[in-house]
Amino acid sequence: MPQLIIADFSPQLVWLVISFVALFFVMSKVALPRIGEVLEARQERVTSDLEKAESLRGEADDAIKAYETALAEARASAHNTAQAARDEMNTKAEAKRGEVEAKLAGQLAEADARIAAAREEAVGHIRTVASDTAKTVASRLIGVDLDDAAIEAAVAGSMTEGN
Amino acid sequence: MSAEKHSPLAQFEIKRFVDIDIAGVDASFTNSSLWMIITIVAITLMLTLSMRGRAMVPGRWQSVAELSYEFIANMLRENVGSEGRKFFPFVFSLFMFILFSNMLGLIPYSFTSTSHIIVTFGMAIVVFLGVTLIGIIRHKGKFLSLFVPSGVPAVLLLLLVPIELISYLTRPVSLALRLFANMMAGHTLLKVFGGFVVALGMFGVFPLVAIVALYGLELIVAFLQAYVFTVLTCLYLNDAIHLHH
Amino acid sequence: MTEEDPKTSFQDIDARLRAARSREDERVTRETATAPEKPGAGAAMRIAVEMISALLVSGGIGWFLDDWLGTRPWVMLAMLLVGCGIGLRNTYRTAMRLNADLHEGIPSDQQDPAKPPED
Repeated sequence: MPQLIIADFSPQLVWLVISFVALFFVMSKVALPRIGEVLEARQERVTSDLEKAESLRGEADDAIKAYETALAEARASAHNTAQAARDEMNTKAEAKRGEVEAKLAGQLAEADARIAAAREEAVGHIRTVASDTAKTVASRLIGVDLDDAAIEAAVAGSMTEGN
Repeated sequence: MSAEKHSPLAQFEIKRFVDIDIAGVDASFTNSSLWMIITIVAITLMLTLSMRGRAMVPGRWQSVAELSYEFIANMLRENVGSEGRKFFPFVFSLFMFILFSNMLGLIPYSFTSTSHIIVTFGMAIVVFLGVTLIGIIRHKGKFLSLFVPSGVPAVLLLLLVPIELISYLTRPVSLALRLFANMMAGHTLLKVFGGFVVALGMFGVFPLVAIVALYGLELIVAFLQAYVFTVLTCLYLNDAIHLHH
Repeated sequence: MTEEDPKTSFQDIDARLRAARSREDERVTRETATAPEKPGAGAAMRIAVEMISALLVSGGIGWFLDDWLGTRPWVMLAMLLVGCGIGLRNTYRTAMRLNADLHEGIPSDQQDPAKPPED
């Protein structure tokens, strides 16, 4: 077995030591710090990225909430405004109608009064004419001068009867 | 060459390229040395070139580098805890060195440095001595409590303490032997089947299927053995730091 | 162009955000390592390794004790017997520890889906 040739031991051990020590130095001074650095940097990056994404997600949530409340507020205020406008319009229309109705009622009453006055007047005229006529008729027919009071009473009595 | 190459064990032979002698110590540059150098260069290139971009979204190679980093970091954290962090470069280098040696050794005509008991034993003894030293420095005399099972009458301790001690001393041997045996067995088997394919010519299709399956298995074993060696290192480290098993 | 309901798109974003967060938490708490296959086939190899190691160590100790005490080969033989026991015990122990490690929370194969290929 070639592995048991004692004479070959020493060069192998010498070169094992040389190469292993060299490897150890290269690894500990160059290669491993470099890899460690990169791994650490990546770890930091991943952690910070995740945190950022999560905080952004939170912000987005807040924004959505704000948007929704704003929307609800706007909706409510729009509703209120519409209601107010409607109410105002209603009251205005109501007032106008009242006004018009009152005016109409006034005019009606006025007209009524005018008619009543006219009738009164007419009736008054009729009475005078009737009394005059009655007086004339009486004086001509029977030659009696009736006093005015009696005639007027008679006329009034007949008019109410005739009515 | 031809007669030699047919032996499935020939692939484990050490070939000296340059004879070097440092203060009486034979430090010749061999095929084993060459593949160790290739191993560490491959690891370095893979881990540095892939991280060149330092991209936030890693590409394929960068993912591999990062995965291996996290794999060992997690292994240490799980098995040793936070005190294990300062051993991370060592454990990582150990894992990568074994893994790449095992993997590169699967390339045809390459050499697997971890298929030599002296190499695996060298690593195991460093782990063993290092871990023992850490335990002694951290806990002084209390480190010996590692060999005293709790809740056992004193008479039995006389028997159990030596057993625990031997058991402890067995660690580096089994650590080294496990890796070495797996690597050697796998490679020998591959070589034997490879020999069949060549020898059988046309009918070599059947062993070829077997060799493909075996190759897949060996890739898993290559990873698994690097993993087991490293995990056991972590567990031993944990024993030394926390004094319990 | 249909107007998208903001509610549904937000739900979608929420779902994705939750998914990303849970993935991330999972990634942070659990480890990303992929589990190796559970060693089952190599039982013989494992027992052999543990037994040989124990026999080597205890046999070696016995050998040195024999040297020291001049009792060759008795202490070594006794130690080999002890080594058998230790080997069996270690086989069991190592298997337990490795199994515990393999079972412990290493999620099997949770790769990130669809990694963009770079080259």
